[in-house]
Amino acid sequence: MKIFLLSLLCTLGVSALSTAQEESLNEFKREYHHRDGIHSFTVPGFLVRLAGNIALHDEDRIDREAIKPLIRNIGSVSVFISDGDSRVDYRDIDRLKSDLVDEDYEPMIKVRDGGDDVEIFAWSKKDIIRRIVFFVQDGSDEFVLVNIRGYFTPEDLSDVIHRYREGKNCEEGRGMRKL
Amino acid sequence: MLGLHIASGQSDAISKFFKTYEDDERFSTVYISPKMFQLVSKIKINDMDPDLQILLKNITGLHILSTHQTPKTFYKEAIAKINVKEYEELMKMRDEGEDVLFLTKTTPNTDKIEELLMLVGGDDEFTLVSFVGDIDLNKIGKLGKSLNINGSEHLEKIKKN
Repeated sequence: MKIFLLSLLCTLGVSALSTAQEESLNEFKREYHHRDGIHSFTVPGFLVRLAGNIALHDEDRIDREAIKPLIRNIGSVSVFISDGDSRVDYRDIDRLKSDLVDEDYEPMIKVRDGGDDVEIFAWSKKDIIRRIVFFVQDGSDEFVLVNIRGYFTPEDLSDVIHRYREGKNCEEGRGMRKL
Repeated sequence: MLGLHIASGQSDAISKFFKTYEDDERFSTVYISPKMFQLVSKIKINDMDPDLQILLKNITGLHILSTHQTPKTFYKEAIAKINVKEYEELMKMRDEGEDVLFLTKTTPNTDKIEELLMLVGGDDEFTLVSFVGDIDLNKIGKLGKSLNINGSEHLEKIKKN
């Protein structure tokens, strides 16, 4: 019984943490999800891993091996898409970004090229990234919001780079032997 | 609020210049935050040049602004907005039709460079790059090869006197 109660408390604790870090994201989705042209869904981690293996075919072997350490630590991915017919007010997007900063998310990268705009925010604790939020806006009023929950350490990122480099070196070595 | 966050570390005139054009569709902009640099500096890459790793550890922000439209005009506008009391001219040159200007901002009463500005104005493109952090001029050239941006090759020409 004690173990059951303890597990229940832990689960509630994790849920509370998850809600606290996604309050503004949830509010934003609630505001828009019922409108036409809005698509919103969540993919659990095991499906992301499965999809990653299917999507990257044999010719992408290096990429697949490289991103494995990242994919295996994904808890879930939520996607929110608004197509050109259902515009998301840019003031709401700006407010969401500002609210995320209030919730201790930190801006990581912002890139704007022509009408395309990509911005990445992350929420981390002790150098471990637990949430990554991508904002993607293109010139045709399409807006995509991706929220990745997981557990990403600097070591995972180092692992990705090493695997990618090793893969490239092996490929180059094989290419040289063929000459 | 976010804009203010992004502008931190830069002097008013230049941050206003970035702010003015960061939403202008004629411009491409890139901003990499201190947090991102902090994260990158913790990633271990075995064959990475140690100087480059130290340099990345000490950079706390990077802001790039570039455009292909009327590059010479924007180059002149940016120069006109620079507060000469805050920035010191480090190097000025003309290379293959491109005007290149490097400016530095030092921490008061020290030799520490806290910001390096690079302005490149050619016939095709105008680029303004701001590095913020503890900048080592002897090492910044190593970034030249790593950054795939217009004018980054000029960084290799910088050497501290």
